[in-house]
Amino acid sequence: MLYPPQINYERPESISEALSLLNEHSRPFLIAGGTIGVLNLKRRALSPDLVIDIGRLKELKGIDFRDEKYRIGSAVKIYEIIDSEFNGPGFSLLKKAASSVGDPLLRNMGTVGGNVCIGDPSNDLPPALLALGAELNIVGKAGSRNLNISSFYIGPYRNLLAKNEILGSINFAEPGKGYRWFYYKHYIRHLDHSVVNVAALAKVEGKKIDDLRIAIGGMSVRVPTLIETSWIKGITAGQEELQRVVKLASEKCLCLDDRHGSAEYKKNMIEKVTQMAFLSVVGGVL
Amino acid sequence: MKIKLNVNSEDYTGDVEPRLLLVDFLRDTLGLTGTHVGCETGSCGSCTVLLDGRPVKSCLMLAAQADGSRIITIEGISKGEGMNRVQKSISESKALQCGFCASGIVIAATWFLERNENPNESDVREALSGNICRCTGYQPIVDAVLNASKEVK
Repeated sequence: MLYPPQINYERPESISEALSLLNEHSRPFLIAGGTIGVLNLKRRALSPDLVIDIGRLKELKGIDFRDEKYRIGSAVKIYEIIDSEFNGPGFSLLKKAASSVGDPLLRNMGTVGGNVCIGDPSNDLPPALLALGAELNIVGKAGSRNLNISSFYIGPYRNLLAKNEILGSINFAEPGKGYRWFYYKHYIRHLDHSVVNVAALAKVEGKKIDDLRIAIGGMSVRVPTLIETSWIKGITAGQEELQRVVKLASEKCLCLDDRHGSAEYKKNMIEKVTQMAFLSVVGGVL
Repeated sequence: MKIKLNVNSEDYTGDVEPRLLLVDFLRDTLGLTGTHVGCETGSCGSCTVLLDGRPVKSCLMLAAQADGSRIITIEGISKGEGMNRVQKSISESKALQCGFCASGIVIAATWFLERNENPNESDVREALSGNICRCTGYQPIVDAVLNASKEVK
């Protein structure tokens, strides 16, 4: 039987109270939705001296759109993204990624901040947020700082959030009209960690690519990663460019044999989904 | 710690250990054993209840996290009308075998049908994708939910 160890639990009323609690404890543990946090407590993977529930903090709630920029509070539930009325191409990409998370019941529980901060390489939101160039607003006792999500992950389940900091919000600009988007997740069985997931955004002017962003995640990579595609700007894409992007993606393969597949299988799947993403967003040019 | 919950329209105040899971508060403290414990890891959906109107997995939640919430369990899902349309449809078509997953599936399906007037099969399958049934292969359950959707409320 799985049961959490004896814990102390606090539900602070404000971010500043939460930050004080973080600073006063040696092994604090933040939970919001709890889908992974409570599970890890049940598995006794953690022995925190305080569980701090930030899931209801008003300051971490809400999805706003101002000056062509979205601000998504870290305690926004995954379903709130899906139910939101925003429908620009950038937000639509995030919606698709959000609707790929777990199952409908877990999406009613889990939060955007949790999905971003856990650092599970196969989580759905990070590749979409990488393609969107999202900035993470991180709050600490001394103030807040912004960090692009592309430098946030430093290893599987590891990120640059300090022990006494809280992810406040996720911010990104709507790429806007003319952008096409694509999200795809490849897994063996439902609720498994994905083998590879891919998020892409592109704008094509005439026959030239104006902007292309592709990010991959999943158990085939070490951390969710953006593929370097800035060189493609202004180029009329053909087979050669497609192959180059696919090769750049496959170089990101961690490619270890494990229960998610053989190294060769993973490499093949990265290549396949990157090709799908490229063809989908660049589309008619080829 | 003290928590206050409204379960199936009745208020409960209790002093709970912070580590008490919501599902065990419902089953052991309140005696509402219709909510089941299956996988304990948030995969199977046997422990599904409505929390402030939305279905969640109560084995992945501390009772403390649900403090102040409104909860509906299988015991309260039919609003005093005997069986609701999902329960009737499942019962009439004998869509289940062992029935262990039934309470979770009824909760998830009832919530889904309240929000979707004319669902198709793939909508129903998606709505039930958080609930595992190891007996039926799902088809009879999906058919029963589709039949229930055609009934006048």
